This record gives sequence, C-alpha cells and structure tokens, in this order.
Amino acid sequence: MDIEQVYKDYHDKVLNYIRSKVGNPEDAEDICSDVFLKVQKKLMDYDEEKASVSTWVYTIARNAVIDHYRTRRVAEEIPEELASDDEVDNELLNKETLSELAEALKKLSEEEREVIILHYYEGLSLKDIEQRTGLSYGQVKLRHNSALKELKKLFSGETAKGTFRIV
Amino acid sequence: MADNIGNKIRKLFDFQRFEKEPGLQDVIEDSLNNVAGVRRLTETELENAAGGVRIGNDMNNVGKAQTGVGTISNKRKCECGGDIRLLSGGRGVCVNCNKTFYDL
Repeated sequence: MDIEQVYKDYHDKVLNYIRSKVGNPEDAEDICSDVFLKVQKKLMDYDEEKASVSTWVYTIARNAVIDHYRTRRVAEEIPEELASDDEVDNELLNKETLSELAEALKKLSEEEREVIILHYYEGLSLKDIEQRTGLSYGQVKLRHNSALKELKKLFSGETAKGTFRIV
Repeated sequence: MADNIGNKIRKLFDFQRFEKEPGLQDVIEDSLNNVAGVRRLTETELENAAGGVRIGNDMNNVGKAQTGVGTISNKRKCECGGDIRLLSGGRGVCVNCNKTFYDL
C-alpha cells in the first residue's frame, strides 16, 4: 500500500467528512492535510488484520477532528457523535455493517425511520424533530423508542451470513 | 440497552458520512426528502416533464406506488395546486408547499 494510492482513494472522502464536522473550510483543509501527514507516518505500522484501510483512515480523520475541537479555542461544542471517549470499534465500522443498517432501517415504518435518521444522522434533538415533522413530542419519543427496540431486535437476529455483531 | 444501540447507530452514521455506502445513502436521502416533502423524480417523469407528468407506465395508474417516489393521491390536490404525496397513517404532504394533511 503506498501513500499516493491512499491519498488518491481517500482524499475526497476525508475532506468531505471533515467539512461536515468543521464549519470553517480553511480549517477543514488544514485538518485534511494533517490527516494525510499522519497516514504517511503511520503507514508502516498499518495492520490490515486489525482494520480495513477505510476504517483506519476514518479513525485518523475522526481523531484529527476531535483534536481540533479540543486544542483550538472554538466556541461550538464538539459534535455529539465524536464526544464519546469510546475507541473506534473496527469490527463495527465496515461497509457490510452499513449495508446491514440500511436493510434494518428499511424494515422500520416510514415514521420510525425518519425519527432515527433525523436524530442520529442529522443530529436533531427530539424536540427539534417535533417542530420539523409537526408530530407531538410524545409521538416522536414513542417512535424513537419503538424504532430502537426494533433495530436492536433486527441487529441481534440471524442472517444468511451469521449473527450481526452490532449488539 | 436502548442507549447502547443508539450510540452504535450514531457511530455507524458518523462512519457513513465518511464511507457513503450507496445503499444506506439512498435510505437516508429518501427519508430526508420525505420529511422535506420533496418528491424525487424518476427517470420516466423527467423524460415526460415537457408533456406533463406521467405517473408510472400508464397514465391511468395514478395512485400506484413507484420506485423512488411516494404514491401521489388521485383524490385530492393541495389548495396551492400541488400534488399530495401519501404517507402512512392517513397523512400526506404537498410536494409544492410542504403542507401536511392528516385526514386522507
């Protein structure tokens, strides 16, 4: 694996990802450059048995964004999805699990799917979802809880490939 | 328990912002478009845009579901003149002005 190929394959993904997290486009470019400097430094230590290249590069990018929030005096709070101190779970983060999530979401009702995507992908609070959808707060909360319950069942079920590992 | 699955889904969605797995991206965009009341045009509709909107393969099939586009009500239109896209539970949304209907 060489740095040029990694840069070619992942530069746009990394930059778009960072732009989705960081408001200032110049900061995003700087952080992206830092990411590939780190990728270059750590390339010799990369172990394909521990994680796919995609997951590895994503982890470096994610940590670079977290460092940006922690070391710079920025007014905005670190995004919730990055606030956890949990290590990135290499087993969880792969294309197959994303496909499985897509299939599981399709099995929810349309309203449950909307609440899950608005809350966990768009980052809206349940209160914001109430305003966005015109549903009552109680209805939003009910759909949120029932969707999570259903997703937990779907993800702990058996598939042709074997048991999902998300839970 | 619910928090654990919620956190995992949050992490997966964050990874999706990076990876953009196509199947999941379609599900996300369809859902967000649905909330916004935006109707995604199928290729058939785009092809027929000049001659008016053709729903499905048969002009008589208004009301039948199509891939990528919600069912359009054949019984009512919005006061603004826009089509109403049917949602579940007797709800619908105007594709033009985003007004939500609860009594369909």
